[in-house]
Amino acid sequence: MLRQLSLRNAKRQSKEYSLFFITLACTVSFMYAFNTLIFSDIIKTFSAAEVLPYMIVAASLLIVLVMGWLVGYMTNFILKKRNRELSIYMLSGIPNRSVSKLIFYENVLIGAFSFLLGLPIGILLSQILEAVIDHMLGISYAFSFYFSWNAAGLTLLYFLAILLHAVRKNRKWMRKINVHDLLLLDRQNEKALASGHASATLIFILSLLSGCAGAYLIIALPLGKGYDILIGIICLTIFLMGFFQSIPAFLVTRFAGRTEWKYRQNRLVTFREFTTKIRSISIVMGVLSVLFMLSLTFMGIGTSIYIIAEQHMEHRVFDVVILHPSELHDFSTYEDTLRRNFPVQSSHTYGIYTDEKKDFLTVRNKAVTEINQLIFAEYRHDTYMKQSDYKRLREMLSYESVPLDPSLCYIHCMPALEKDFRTFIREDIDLSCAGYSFAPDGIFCEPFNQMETYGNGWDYCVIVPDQAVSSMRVLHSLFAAITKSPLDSRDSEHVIQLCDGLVGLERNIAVAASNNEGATSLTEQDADYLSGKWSDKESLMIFYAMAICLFYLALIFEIIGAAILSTQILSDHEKKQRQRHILQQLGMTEKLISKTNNRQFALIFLLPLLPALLISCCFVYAGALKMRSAVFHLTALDNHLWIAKSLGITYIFFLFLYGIYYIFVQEASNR
Amino acid sequence: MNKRPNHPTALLSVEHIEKYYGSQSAVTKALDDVSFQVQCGEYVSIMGASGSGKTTLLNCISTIDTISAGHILLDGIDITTINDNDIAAFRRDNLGFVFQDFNLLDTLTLEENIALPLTISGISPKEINDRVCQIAEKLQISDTMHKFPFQVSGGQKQRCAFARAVICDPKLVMADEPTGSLDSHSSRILLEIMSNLNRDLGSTILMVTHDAFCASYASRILFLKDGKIFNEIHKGEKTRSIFYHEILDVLALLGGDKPC
Repeated sequence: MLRQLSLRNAKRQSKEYSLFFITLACTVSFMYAFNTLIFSDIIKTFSAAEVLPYMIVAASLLIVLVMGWLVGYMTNFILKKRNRELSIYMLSGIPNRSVSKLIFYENVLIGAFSFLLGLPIGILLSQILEAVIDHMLGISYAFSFYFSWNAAGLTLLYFLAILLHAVRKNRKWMRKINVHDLLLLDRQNEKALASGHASATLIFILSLLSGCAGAYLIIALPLGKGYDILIGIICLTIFLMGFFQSIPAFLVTRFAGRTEWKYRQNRLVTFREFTTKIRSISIVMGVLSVLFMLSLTFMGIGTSIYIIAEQHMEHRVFDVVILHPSELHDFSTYEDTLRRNFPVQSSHTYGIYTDEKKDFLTVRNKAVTEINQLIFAEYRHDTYMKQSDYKRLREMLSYESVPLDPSLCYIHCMPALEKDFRTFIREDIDLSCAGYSFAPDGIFCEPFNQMETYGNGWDYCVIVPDQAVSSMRVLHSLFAAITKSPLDSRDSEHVIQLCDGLVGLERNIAVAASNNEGATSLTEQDADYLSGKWSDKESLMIFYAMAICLFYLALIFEIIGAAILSTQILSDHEKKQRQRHILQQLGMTEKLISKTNNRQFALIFLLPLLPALLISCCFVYAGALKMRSAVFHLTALDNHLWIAKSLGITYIFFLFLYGIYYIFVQEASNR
Repeated sequence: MNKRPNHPTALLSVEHIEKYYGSQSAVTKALDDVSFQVQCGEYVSIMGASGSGKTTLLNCISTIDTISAGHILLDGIDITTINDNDIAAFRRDNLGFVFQDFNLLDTLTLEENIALPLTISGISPKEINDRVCQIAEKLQISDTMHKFPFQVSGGQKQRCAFARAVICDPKLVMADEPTGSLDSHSSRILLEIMSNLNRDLGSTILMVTHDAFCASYASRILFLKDGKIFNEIHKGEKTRSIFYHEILDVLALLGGDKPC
């Protein structure tokens, strides 16, 4: 009997609160999709990606914690809405323990339904996620149906942990409650209407001031040493708490007395319904705002990380680069092996030269943002390239052909150095190199494998007439190739295995140079060093892993927050129907009633979002700037437009998902 | 909507209306060839036992429900032909409602509940304020205007509902068991007020009730039985007490609810 009743109740609830249960199913599918990455063969083959599974597990545990609380809250909320039904069970003589059991069965049924619905969607999502990861790693994606038992097991474990918390919370509540309290639950909201307004304005203003102070501290960082971030977060937390506690009463205090305002344009019902609703769920509103703020921040930071990683990759233009230190070298053996295994589109062997001059290095060092940057032994003087090599490389990269005067010198540098170098060349009219003067506007800034060491110079290279290098020392010789299809790090390892004496270049490892005049990453004796676009991509795996995990968290936080808000609104269905009926009797048209309702829903959806937008904007801005200066010693992203871009992408994506929930609520309510 | 010639002073004219409920297998005839008229400024009560069709009749007149046959004319307009787009405006301009369970919006104060129909009509805020103050004074609820419905008594709520029903000066005020949720003292106050408004302002009131005391305030009573008009009595020059006893006699004849 009890089980039949549970089944019937579970069916009814899954209809009434469909949005919440669909969101639970979505959470399962996201969890499954991300868990497949932990057991993915592709991730296992990339040594640099080994951090990703740990990050996903950490993110999942955080999700379990947050979701545990939220699902507990929501199931309890749904139970409270059923107070009359529960009180009838009790009045019929069913003991609390049996009612708890009934609710337990219901939760298990609904949980099982959500899990079983979420899993197939998760399989589909995991394919999409794999396609994204493959794109990030430069691997061509091929669709294949794949079900991971391990990922499904882990997902089930997480989901059970979430449900268990909810079931325990409800059981505890159910055992404590009595019939009298259950029947009086409805009246609690009514009393909230008349609660005091006196201090609302003061609290509201103080919370706004606290919010402004927090935003200032996080953006401007006036104190340093992390104190500003810490105090900023405290201020913003106070802002959120104060804001949602005081805003309903503040609005009532400010506008309820203004008949000129409230009696116009059918504002009365919208205003009163809105303030009453937000007053009854002010704590939930605060929690939702925090969730949305976290979601927007994670999404924004994730997008910024992705933009930074892509920017990083943009400056690595060759698929394969082999370096031989200190002398010109014949790379034909490597080239033959490479051509046999990978179709090479174009290649070129050339030298990078140096002398004792530091003219441009001095200018470059002034522009570098990182003060304690490592000094590399190879880059203590200016670097040079022959005009003929430069022309050939530009041709390979399909850059616009530029006429080079064989009696003049030119510069190819990172965009951030262009202005300083131009000023330097203009100011020093006697500036020359091996007797050749500089072309006044001869500065080129396309991506040219200069962002890091052991490329075509470090941040810059002087392009000199061919005969000018005769008096210079060879810094290193390079073989650069562009392949017909992109290579990945597994191909790079294959090349290393095929070619004797070739090792991978690890720029992040540096030892003291033999002459003790700086550090060097060329640590192997008599070895040549392989680098290139796709092998370098692996070094960015940590960035991609962070971006993936942040998106994972952001998605879950957003959908669960939006589902809670939507369920809160839709749970007033009966009240809304009654209100609609009264307004119809009073002569309000159907169209106007729907418009009034939609206006209320829009305001309720907007309220937790506004502080979240403001705070996340501060966090993303500060975080993106920090990351940029940590990643780039030169400002490769030379203005703040890229932050605006990442914020734009974030907001569009967030609002798209949020909009789906809003439209669902609007449709369901007006149906 | 159709405008048809009508009796010069009849505000409401109900002509041979029928109302059926249910499907083909189980049809219930809720109203059976009901016809009557209500004159301008009249206070008419409809009485009958539970299930006699009185609330159905009120719902049909108030355009909340539709009829199966016949015509209902209000001020010469056949309300059965009004389309859905115009029905809201028709209600707003012509009808006022009072219900047993008040039908006030919980989130609005009494003042705002009364002002609501005026805001829907687009009246200026200043005029709204003036009219709300006037009606509140007449209905003796000026002191509670800033309170929410849950903070006031049932009588005050019903007076507020009545104020909301008459504030737009509708042609016809319809009340469905207005004293059903009130104690005797509050009922008496409300009925006095309704009676005064009918007398002083000429409001036309159509009230459904099964309470003989409540009905005794009306000037004419229609008795419904099994969906048909069974009897009709007029107060005329009689005192309310005599009229009350006359109602009880008809009810006894009707064999319906026990008189209150």
